[in-house]
Amino acid sequence: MHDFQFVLKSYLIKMKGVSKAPPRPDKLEICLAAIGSCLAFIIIGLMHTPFFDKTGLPLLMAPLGASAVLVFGASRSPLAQPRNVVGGHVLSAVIGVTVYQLFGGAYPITSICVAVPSAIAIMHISGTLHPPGGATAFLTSYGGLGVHELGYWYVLSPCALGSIVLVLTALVFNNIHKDHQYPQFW
Amino acid sequence: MPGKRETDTAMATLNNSLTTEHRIKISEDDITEGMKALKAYIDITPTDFKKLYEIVYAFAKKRILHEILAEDIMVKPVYTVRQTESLYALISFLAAHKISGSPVVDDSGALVGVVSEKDILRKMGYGQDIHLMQLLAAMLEKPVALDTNSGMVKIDKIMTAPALCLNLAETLIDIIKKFDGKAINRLPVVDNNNNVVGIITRANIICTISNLF
Repeated sequence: MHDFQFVLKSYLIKMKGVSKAPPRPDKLEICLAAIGSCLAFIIIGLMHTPFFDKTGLPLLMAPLGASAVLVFGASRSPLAQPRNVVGGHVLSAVIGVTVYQLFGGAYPITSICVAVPSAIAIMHISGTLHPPGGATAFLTSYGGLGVHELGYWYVLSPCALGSIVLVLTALVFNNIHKDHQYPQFW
Repeated sequence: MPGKRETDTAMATLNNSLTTEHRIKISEDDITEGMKALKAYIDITPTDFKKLYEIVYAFAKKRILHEILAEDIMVKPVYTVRQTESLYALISFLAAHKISGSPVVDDSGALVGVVSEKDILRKMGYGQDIHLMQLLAAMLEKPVALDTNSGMVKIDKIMTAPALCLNLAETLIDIIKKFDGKAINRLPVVDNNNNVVGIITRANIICTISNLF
């Protein structure tokens, strides 16, 4: 009984946390992150409208917003590097679309419960961990975002192309500041 | 390479020579300040950074202690004396070079022993283990306290032999181990032919370690 109490207490005490939050970056850093992501979505939005609307392949998808947080807001993070952004979205989309094809959208919760953990595992194994990839796997696995119509084309666009445009924008924009460098690795 | 247990013992000795509060420790406040100075957002908590730093520091310390070799820190050329020379010649030699001891070599240049102030004082103090200050104090009372007849004694009669020495490829941790717990101030470094090629003093070790910071 005493042991159980000790174990329970040790377990619960972990929930208090042990560290402080990292400091807030300076104002210039915050402004640059906002401007960079704005620029990226202007470019993606402009490309989306004339070219991709006609083809029926979208270039915009919600998980790219999450990617922009990392690519512009925490560009030094290993999670924000090109291989993670592009690889994370592509692999997660392949998993998501495959799960959708298997379950046919009939069991959305099951699809999500299979697709998201698989995406996490595959991204980890392939060294492409990118949190927005989880959102891509989530959305594609139950047939959202037009996956129902596009099938595996969805992997090409918006996942591959959208994330490539985001990375290219970051490549240009994040290297303008003399103290910034992107990527940290390829 | 030394055995793991030996290395760990020597590392423990090195660690014990520094009290906990003197050892380089970084606080989470230091890390937070460092993150602010970097200005960019780093997605790691100060606690994780500290843990990582401590692990990395331990690895780096171990690597450095095994990577720095005797040949990297030894002083050269070395002033050596021949075993056939006299005590007088030795004293003049040490005085001329302002050194307190020297490796002793044979005609081929191979190391046969070491000779230090302590060996000289022992000889000139009538065979007693006597410190310099004790000898000076005795001389103030009685100038004949110094055995001046021993001047022609050959160095090989007073030197310490066999000499403790280091090989060129011995690591910093091995060197520290050899000095540890012994009242020696210098160790000659020899090549594969036992020829003296350098010397390492306690001061060299202190300089090497202080240069790491």
